[in-house]
Amino acid sequence: MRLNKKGKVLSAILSVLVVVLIAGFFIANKTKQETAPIHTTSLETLPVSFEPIGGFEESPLRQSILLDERQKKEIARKEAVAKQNVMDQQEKAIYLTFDDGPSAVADQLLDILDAYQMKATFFMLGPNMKEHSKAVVRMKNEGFGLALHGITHEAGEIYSSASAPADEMIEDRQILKDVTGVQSNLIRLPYGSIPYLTEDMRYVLDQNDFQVWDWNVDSRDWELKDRRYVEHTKKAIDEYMNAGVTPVVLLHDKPHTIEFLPELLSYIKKQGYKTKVLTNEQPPVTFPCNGRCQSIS
Amino acid sequence: MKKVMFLAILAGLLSVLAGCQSDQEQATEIHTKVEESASLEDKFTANQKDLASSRKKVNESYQKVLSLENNDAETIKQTLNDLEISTESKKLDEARENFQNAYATLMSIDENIKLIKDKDEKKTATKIMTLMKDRKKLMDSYFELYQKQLDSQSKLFENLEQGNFELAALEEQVKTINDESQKMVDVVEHVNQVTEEYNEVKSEYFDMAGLS
Repeated sequence: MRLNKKGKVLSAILSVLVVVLIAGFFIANKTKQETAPIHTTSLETLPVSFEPIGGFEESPLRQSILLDERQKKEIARKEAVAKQNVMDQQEKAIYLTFDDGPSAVADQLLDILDAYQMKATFFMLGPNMKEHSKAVVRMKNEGFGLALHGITHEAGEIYSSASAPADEMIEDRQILKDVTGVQSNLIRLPYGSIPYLTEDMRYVLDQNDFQVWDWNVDSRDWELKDRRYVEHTKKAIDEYMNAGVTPVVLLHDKPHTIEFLPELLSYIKKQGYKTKVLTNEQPPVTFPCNGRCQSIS
Repeated sequence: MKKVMFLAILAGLLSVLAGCQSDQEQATEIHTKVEESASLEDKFTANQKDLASSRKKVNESYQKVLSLENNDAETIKQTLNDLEISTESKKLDEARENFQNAYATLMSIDENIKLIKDKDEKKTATKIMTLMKDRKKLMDSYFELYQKQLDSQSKLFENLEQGNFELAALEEQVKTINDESQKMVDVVEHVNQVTEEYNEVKSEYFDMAGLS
């Protein structure tokens, strides 16, 4: 097709325009490529450190506050125990306590106590309560004192850290509650609270409302394992009674203890002593640390 | 017929060229705003460094107090009296304001992003904004937690200063501070991740736009 004059002029103009634009595009591109790289500022990350503030747990400040609080608590406990003692003396009260149960012979033990119409408090191990739950329910139904003795009975376990005694007792408390519905805060540490129950451990137990019970009459049934423990206990009970101190007697839920128990109960009855159970509200007879407590590790 | 086609091609070519030109203009403006925002963040970064230094001082005094005993009440009081939690609180407010300014400046790139024609560039530039919005949310939590922790610290130090040595209460307060610290560590870590991602996406965008 042939173009007329006007067409030729127009196409010439357009061609020039296309050439100019293409040239412009390439020049622009070239300029863009040749532009010096721009500077971009990177934002900085946050420099503030928020690591937890450490050191309080082991600090001298905490330790001094802890000891102060323990001393005040110990003074209050002694006063409360003295008051309780006055009331107990009027009744000629005596507290029998049995550790380590319930054993396979727990029912036999309860039968003997029933026969003498006597009461006692049982510091029990969690696994044993699970194994002999019927005996525990019987204790509850017959009005015996229900208390805790931990889970492992291993010194290396229960005294292994500041929270270990409380951890075991919390578990034990839950087992007792599951079996009987009773919430008991009465605890006795395996081998007693001296020397391994440190102030730190006592503090954590306090935080969990536990009352640490020791004893003042050790029957030594665990050591003597025969009739001699009865003679020893009778003598010790009388000594304490004569001194105006209510006896809290340590015994064990073991066959060799049960075998000679009637002799002891018979003596207690003859003396006119009244056996009572320990309660959550009662101030505990505890061995105070007085600088004797030390970590097992 | 040929004339019409020729004109159409020409118009297309012109519009492509005009588009390229416009995207580059937007990129240049975005760059200016991003840099302006970054320079405002410099103040915020300086505030952070001040705060880090204040925290260090507070921690040193706290450690000194821990090494004392409760019957050293006077020394405890004196040591804590020198602490300036209120100054730290003011620095935090200043940091918050500087961050807010930097954020607002950066957000103004929205109007430029709307005018970007290249889909990929638009998407990347939008991501810059999204990341900054995420960062803002995290920074809001950061400032809130920080202030909360300063309040908790004040309470603890006040008790120690006044000789209120009830162990259970003090332990609860230390635990609260440490729980808050853990939350702060998590937030800071998250902020820093987003910041790094922001820096990367920003560079990626300027690369795409041919500005770097």
